[in-house]
Amino acid sequence: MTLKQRCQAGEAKLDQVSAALLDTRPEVLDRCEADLEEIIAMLETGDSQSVVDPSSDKDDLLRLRNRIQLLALQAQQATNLCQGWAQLGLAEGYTDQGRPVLPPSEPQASYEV
Amino acid sequence: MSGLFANLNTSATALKAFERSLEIAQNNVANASTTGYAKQLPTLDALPFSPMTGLPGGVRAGDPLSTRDEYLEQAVRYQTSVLSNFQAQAQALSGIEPIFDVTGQTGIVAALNSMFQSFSAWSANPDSAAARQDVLSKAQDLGASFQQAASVLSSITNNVNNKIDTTVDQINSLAAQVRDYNLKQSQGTGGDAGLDAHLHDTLETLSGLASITARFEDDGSVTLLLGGQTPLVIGARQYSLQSGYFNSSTPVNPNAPPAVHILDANGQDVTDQVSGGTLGGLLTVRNSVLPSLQGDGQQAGALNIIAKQVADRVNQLLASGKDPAGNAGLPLFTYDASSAANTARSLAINSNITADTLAALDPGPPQVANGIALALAGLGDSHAPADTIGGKSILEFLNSQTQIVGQQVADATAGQTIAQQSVAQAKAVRTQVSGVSLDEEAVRIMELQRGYQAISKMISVINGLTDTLINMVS
Repeated sequence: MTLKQRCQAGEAKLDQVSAALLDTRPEVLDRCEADLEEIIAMLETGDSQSVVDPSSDKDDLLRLRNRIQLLALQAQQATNLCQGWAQLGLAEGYTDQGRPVLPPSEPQASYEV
Repeated sequence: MSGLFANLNTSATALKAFERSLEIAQNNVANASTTGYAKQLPTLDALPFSPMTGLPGGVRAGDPLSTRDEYLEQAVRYQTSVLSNFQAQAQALSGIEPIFDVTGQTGIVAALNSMFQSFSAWSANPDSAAARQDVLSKAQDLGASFQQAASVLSSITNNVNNKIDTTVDQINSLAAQVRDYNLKQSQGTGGDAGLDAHLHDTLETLSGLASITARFEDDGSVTLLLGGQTPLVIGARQYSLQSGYFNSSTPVNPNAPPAVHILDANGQDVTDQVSGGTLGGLLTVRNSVLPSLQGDGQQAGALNIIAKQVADRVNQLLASGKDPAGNAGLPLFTYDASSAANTARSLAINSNITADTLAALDPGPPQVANGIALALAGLGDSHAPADTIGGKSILEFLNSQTQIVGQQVADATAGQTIAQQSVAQAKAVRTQVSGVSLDEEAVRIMELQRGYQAISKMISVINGLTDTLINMVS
């Protein structure tokens, strides 16, 4: 498998992971981890000898890295939201508009969006 | 570049979906103890994906799915209505029970037995001044006992009247809240889980007050009906109830307490439609149980029937006898004969009678010195047609009334116990379906967070690997 092919396959897997991350079930997240392990294995198995077109391969790798960074943002946002939830879990009540009432001692920094 | 923007757009949509999903979990937790709140579940909708036409695909947060089950809500409301009905009856009847003391130690039963015992003691010693005085004393006690019983029933009646008025006011006030909910729906400001929780809490409180039917319309509003027929709220319009006190027909017994009627917004009598809830229980006691005892415009009531029978027969027997001076006997009791429903309240001993004028002698023939006193002593158990009430002796009739009241109290208490279990069961099932489990929500979020953190680490590894490869090809 050429580097180009591995990049394309990796990108396709990342798209799958990105979509699967929206399903907030633990078993789905487990599947995401398995997919990411596959990408790691795929990238590790290659070697520099398989590079046939350095310019084209670099473009593929840069595109893959952009995709990875977007996914990193997505995962980080999800983690932050969980932490935000933990803060808001201490909400004191409920307004007439259906919004939680935060306690006055709520930490200044919040991950809630 | 358009591909990159599409990617970013997809990612941003995905982040919003995350946000919504976690917001729902947070709302569930914040409202775990909010009365009437039903857990919501996040849903995700797939967006159309077509790169050729610029549709980036992805996923967005859908409308939260409420776990509220209207069937279960209706079951809880129904059981609540039944429970409140029994509770109201049991509470009101508990005040009546002591009047008809089943042990015979207090109340009318005790006073009547004491008087018959005094007649018996007098018949053994018809010339005894002490025995004669005791007869007067016990007769006076009996009169006071009937008056007190009538007074207690009257007090209970007033108390129940006040509760009925208060309950009707509460129903109108809660119906106004449902109307306000409908107004928000029509203005497009409804559809919130908090408002939904408040609505269902209001409906549950209402079902405790009366038998109501809540119908959820397509426009999001709630139509509220009393007894499934009388409108309380339709859309943004409320139809208030009111209570009225009047006799449906010309009363035979003047000054008797009139029946209570529930009137709709047009003044129509809808009392028959109030079968459940506190109001239904209060109306049962007020319009059925209490009149059967104290009377109303049409009936005398058991208490007055007993008082009249005792007074009339004692007076008739004494009038047929002669006192020690040879004079015709005087009546022992007096009462207001203008209203059959006022006998017990007005029963008293004749102010003209004295111990010396009590007529024990039956002139016969044959003349019997203690004949009248003997007849009076046996009056309570006598089955002579003139002495009975509906074929029962006076004491049998009194006992039957005691049993009826006791049975009503027992039924209401048993019904209350069963209904409490039914409400608990209905609520348990509802909680299973709609309730928020804090543990469940917390575990869910912690699992998610751990999953995301693990994925973040793996993404870092992939990022590092990619950087290495880029360096290699550069």
